[in-house]
Amino acid sequence: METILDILAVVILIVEVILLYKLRQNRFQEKLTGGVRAMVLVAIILFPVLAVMLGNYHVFVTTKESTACQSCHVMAPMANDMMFDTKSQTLAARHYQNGWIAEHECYSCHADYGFQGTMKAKLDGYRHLMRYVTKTYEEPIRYRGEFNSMNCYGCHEGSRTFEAVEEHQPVVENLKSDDASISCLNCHGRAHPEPSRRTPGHEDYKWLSNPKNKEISVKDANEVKEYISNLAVSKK
Amino acid sequence: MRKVFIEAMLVIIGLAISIPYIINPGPILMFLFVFVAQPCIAVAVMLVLWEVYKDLTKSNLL
Amino acid sequence: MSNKKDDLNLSRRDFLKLTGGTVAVGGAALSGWGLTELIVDEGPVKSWHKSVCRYCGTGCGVMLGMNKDKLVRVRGDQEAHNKGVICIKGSMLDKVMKSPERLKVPKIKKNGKLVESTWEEAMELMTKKFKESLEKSGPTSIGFYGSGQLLIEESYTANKLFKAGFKSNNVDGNPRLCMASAAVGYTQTFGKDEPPGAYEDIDHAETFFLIGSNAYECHPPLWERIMLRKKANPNVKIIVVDPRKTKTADHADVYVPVLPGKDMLLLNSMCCVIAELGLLDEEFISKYVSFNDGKKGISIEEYKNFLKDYRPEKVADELGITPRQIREVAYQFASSKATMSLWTMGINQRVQGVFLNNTLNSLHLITGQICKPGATPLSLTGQSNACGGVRDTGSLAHLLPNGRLIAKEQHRNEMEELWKVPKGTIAPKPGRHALAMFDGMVTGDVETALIMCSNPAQSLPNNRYYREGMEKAFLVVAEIFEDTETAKFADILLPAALYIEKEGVYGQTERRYQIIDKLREPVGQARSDFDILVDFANRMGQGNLITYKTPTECWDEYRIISKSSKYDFSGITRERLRKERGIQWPCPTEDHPGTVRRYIKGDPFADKHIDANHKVHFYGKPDGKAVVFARPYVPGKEDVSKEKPLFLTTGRVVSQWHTGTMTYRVPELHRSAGPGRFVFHPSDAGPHGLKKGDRIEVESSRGKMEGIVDISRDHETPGVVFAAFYDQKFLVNNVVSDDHDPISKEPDYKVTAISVKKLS
Repeated sequence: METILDILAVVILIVEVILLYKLRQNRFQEKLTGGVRAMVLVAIILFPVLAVMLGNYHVFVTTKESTACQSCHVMAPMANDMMFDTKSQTLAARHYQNGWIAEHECYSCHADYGFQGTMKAKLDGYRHLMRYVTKTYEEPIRYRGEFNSMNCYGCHEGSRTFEAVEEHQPVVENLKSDDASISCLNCHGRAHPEPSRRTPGHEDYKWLSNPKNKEISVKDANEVKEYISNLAVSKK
Repeated sequence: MRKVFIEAMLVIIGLAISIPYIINPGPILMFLFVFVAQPCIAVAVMLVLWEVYKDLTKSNLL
Repeated sequence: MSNKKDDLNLSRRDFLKLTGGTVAVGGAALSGWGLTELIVDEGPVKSWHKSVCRYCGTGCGVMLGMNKDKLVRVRGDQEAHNKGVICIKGSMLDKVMKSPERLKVPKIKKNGKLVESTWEEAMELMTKKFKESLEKSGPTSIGFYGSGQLLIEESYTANKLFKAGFKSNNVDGNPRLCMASAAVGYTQTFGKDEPPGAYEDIDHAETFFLIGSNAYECHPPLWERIMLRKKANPNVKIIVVDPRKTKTADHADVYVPVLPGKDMLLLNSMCCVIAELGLLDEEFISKYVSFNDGKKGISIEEYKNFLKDYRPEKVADELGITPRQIREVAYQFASSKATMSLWTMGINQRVQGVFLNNTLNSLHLITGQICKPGATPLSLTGQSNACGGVRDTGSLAHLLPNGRLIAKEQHRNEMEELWKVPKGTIAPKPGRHALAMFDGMVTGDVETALIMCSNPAQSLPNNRYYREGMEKAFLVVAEIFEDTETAKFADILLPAALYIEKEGVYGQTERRYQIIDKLREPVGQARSDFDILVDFANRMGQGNLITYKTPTECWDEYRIISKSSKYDFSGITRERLRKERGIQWPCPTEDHPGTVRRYIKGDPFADKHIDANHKVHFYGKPDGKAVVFARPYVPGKEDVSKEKPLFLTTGRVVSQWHTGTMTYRVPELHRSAGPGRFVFHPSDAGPHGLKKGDRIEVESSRGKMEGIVDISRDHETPGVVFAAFYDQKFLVNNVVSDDHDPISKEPDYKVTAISVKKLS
């Protein structure tokens, strides 16, 4: 899909350059003749609208990709931890590196269910974008409001490993009650690196906040990979 | 062409942002796309359509 | 030219349009942003506060979400040692704080019924009764029964008031039922109480030796840490020794199902195998270890001779396992890169509790599995402040603050000087330990007592017997709920503040001190136990002794006192506690980071003895050497027979904490745990004709009780019946034996022989 978009973009670019050049050649004509008129329709309406549509594909669809979240530098600590720190024990890293979530790793956990959830996630994304481009944020960034544990339950409900743990019963009861107060993270730990590590000045901050990380941060990668794959069979 | 000079300028600005954004999406370009490119192109399209409408009414085609 | 002019005109008009457009678009963008900022669902929390969980000895750091004076959310503190992991009980603390059943006004028993009263009347009556007892029958006729859940300032104040103020050493508490054997074990072996290692060792250990610990259910965040360690390193092995096949045992690499009451044989047998295989760490032993048979020093040869009686082939049958299992476990323990032992009540609550603790420590000493990352013995604590509040403040009948002993004149004199009381004030004879205190109530020797933050009427073994005493004595009970078993015996019932309704310091398993800040006012007229004690002291004419009025002033006094001991935590100021996520003592200065591992480099008291040749210094002992005791197995009185063919063992379940005073009130946890019951292995239920839900009568040497049957193939083992003690309608302690360790005086809750009869 990305390649098709790229090709289309280049095509639009080339056609527009030609058309606008042609229009410039006709700039002294007082009246728009038939051929020029067609050129105007294509150059000013058809292709720009096409470009807007392609752009909006990114706005609404590509933003679900984890790479889209990662493209804001402020998200680098979450992304680096999740994707490249093979020793990390955060929930995000364990889910990502074990491939427990097939696609849209950030979005899958961070968007609530249904259309309302999608809308909420998009509005949140909009807020994040505005904060980011206007630099009205402070590191370490913090999750505003409450993470919805039902997002965890959406995938884990009914799974053998989840149902086998009888300690989950009071949790589910609490989550489904009107007075829900529990969080899955309470027993299962951090989703992302703790705020102190994401604070400028911390020894881990430099690596975590580096947007160019691509490498595994430990020496014996195989050993660590093995452990991460072992995580998948953590509980009977 | 003079008639569509502004429209052309708006389209150039819009595309100058949109094309890089389509090829290489990022937060800044996304912001510019949503709040600059898109409105520019929208305005250009509306102006042209307005011209077309005027043209058509003048020719008593509408 | 005209064209250009046209251009300009056009541009000006369009410039205006453009400006308008830009403003419109910009305005839309900004207002849209503003809207998204406004509609963020912030949840009910208005402010977050760092605190510590109220419940167990893990001492998890928590973040408390408050909405004005209401606790609405509890989350794990990601910056604390538990890395954001807490358990299901702590997660639902908000429900306990919300409970409408709290005791809100003082009550006095009149004509056998508790009637509402005022603080003035209640405190005056309390003062009168204590004064009467003191005048009529002397200091030994009064007592204080405290708790491993009181804040450090509270236990410290009670201890000081009773021992230095009233000259009564009858100060004890529920940690006697829980930690006493571990405390005595450490003190005998290392010369100092409290563990040498820390939770951090979990991240470095290669072998976990869990004995008498169901960490999966009782210390879930620590268990999670162990599991993460195991997943991070495929070489990690978990050995679980337990008569029950607990959920912890489910995850073990090696599970050793010993019979109840016999594991002293296993530990000695492991030592024997280790010696036979030549796995003793000779260098470590020669430098840092001495041997003792309990009366005098012995040689290593004599120790090895002692062990010969415990060859696996000799003891395996009695243990109910095979010699091969013993050899496997012993080899793994000694040969692993780093072995960490973890234990709780399965070891402490035993008639041989101290010996078991000694021998666990010995296993580490003879193999050199100590004083290096990942290698350490670590006794897990049951209560949130048994270590800091009771062991460290010396609020037990035989102790004085910071590891001092009442029996030692020098220690008494030191404390008299620090407390600025005349020499000879502190009575030289240790007071009554927990069971003896309630026994004293039965015999009439203890007439008046103050019970705080504890529920002995449900938690004491041989419960009916000690209840007689509670009935006879004049009891002042500070409680958070009116309907607890102990509250029923109160002559004066004082409403106590709970958790974040008061301020103070908690100290847990790994010598870590953490602060709980006051975040709301107590319900009704409730007062903190600290305020009650200070008020009581003043009314008793001890205003000169208890001079401080706030927990902070008390902390500063105690902190400075600690300076003259090897516990020195004078660097742990209130300000640091508020800023940092708990600090581990020793911590002698305000810029000291605290001590993760004791007796090695980094421990301020060991540092000056450490050089290239000496990496370890056990400064609790005059010669710097820890003691390996040759401790024999002595069979307990409770053993199965034809008449009593089953072992009863008690414990906790994951969703309930201790006597359930708090957790059983949380609907989700209540339903999850279900009613108290006897859980059988099917192979025992069958021959007795028992099905799930049947009513039975259980009889032990201490009496009879009725209960319902549950059956578990997965978690029980043949010959062992399990019962938890959280349900006040199911007082299993009525039949539990009160045999206790002769040294630590800790009762044996784990081994009671019973017979079972089905009721129609």
